[in-house]
Amino acid sequence: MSTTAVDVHHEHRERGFLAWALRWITTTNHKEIGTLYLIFALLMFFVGGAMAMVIRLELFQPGLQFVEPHFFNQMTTMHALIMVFGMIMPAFVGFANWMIPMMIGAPDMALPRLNNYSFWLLPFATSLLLLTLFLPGGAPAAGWTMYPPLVLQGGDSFPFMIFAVHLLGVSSILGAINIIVTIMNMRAPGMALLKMPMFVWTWLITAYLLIVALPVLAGGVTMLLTDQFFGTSFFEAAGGGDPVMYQHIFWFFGHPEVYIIILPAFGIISQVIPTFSRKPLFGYASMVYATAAIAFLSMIVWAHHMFTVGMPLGGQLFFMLTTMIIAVPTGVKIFNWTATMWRGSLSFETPMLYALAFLFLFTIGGFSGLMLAIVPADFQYHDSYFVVAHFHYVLVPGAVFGAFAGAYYWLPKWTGVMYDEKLGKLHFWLTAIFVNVTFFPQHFLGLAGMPRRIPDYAAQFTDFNMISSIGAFGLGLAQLIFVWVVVKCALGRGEKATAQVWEGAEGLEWTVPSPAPLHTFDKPPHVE
Amino acid sequence: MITMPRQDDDHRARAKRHAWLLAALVLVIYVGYYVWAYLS
Repeated sequence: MSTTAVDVHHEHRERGFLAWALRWITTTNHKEIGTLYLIFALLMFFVGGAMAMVIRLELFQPGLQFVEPHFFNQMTTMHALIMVFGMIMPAFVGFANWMIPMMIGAPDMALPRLNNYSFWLLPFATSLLLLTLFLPGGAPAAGWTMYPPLVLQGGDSFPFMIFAVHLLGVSSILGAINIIVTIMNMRAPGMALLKMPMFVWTWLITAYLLIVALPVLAGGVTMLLTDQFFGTSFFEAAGGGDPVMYQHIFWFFGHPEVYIIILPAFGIISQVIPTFSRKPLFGYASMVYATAAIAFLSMIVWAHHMFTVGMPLGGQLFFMLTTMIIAVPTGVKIFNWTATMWRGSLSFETPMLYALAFLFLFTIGGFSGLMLAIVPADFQYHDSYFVVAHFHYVLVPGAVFGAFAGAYYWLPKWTGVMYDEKLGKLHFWLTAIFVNVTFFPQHFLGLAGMPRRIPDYAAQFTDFNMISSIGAFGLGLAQLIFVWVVVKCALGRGEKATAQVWEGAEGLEWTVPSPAPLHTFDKPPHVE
Repeated sequence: MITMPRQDDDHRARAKRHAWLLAALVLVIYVGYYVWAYLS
């Protein structure tokens, strides 16, 4: 079978560009689709990042210097939508596509054509979203949460945004279905559920979260659409509706979404730390149960995003306590990762550096999350830069560092050559320093009372905003190093990688050659 | 079809059945939320 594949490869190459393009457009191979997802995510990382640069440029000093307030609002909205739906989610789906079949000893995803369809929905959906920038009235500007009634006043971009969110949701749901049925049906003989690598486990649980959460978002935005165009009054008080109900529906999706983003990063960290500690993961079963517990709890905490809308005391207490309880399974994970390193034979290659930074910095984001969970305190912090600092600590040194750790960890397996370790380390240190320069001062700004989503601010906030903006420009520039590292690997420049790549690496994916051939495990391996 | 998964027909048929069930669940949640919100 693999011989046939090689023949087809050559045949396509001889036929020129059109055949080459058609092969990538119609591919049903999990590795190629994984590559497409990862390239797309990297592209969107820079598109969303450019929007962040506009935001930080405007906030460099008080007053309005570079952009109109309305365009500033478009930038904050689009930055979030692109980074969440166009960058970090596709990045982790890319990792899942590449690694899950190899980790469980399957030849491909269970539904390869569906896999292709899931990917190709993405460029169309994000193009639809990005093209709204050129509409009269500009792109959506009511925030990524799309709260009515503000979002209904958004002009021509509104239906485009709703359609784009629907398409992005369909793409993610189809991807999630594919991942679940692959893991449940395609495992190699002997690969029992409790033998699966943690990355596979975290993705299985994430995929179920996607199935539960995304249709709720789709329902919510459909209600927005019918409110706007078909005369319903779901969220319009004048017609008997309730705008607060939208917030409940949105956050019933929105909070699991946070864990949809972070759980695959947990999975990557759980692969990287044992490898570079040269020890098995400490407390494997408790890691699985902790992941499941986090997923369950993530569905009963949503109203902590909206304490200030007013709710009964019982509701406030319930959502405060459930939110705080999430710290328990998360603490189990942090403990297990630390215990894995305990007395391990540690080495500090770039993936491990990212994993360690993840441990420290994600924990900072977790602690500020606990502060926000305290209802009376949240009344002060709500809608301030403290919230911006909190979720960026969770998403950037959390999810994005997890993605970087995974990229450096598996690049040699994907490309067959070792990445440039010096450049990798330079990328890490610049990113780790600038991430803190960017986001740490935002805690102080929030505590001092600076509101989020504004293009201008009072003069006393100037110093910390300048520091934050300088950090952001540095952070943005440092990412070009990553592109150079990836391009070098893709061009095959670097030391040839062995099959195992890392001395301490264990698992089926490290038994196949590097680069992994297009078709692996045509005959299922037997797992002891 | 060089890129089809190898597992035997039973595995693929079972995977497809699971996929349809999950798709039905998605539809139930989506429509269910809309109807619930409409009635409430």
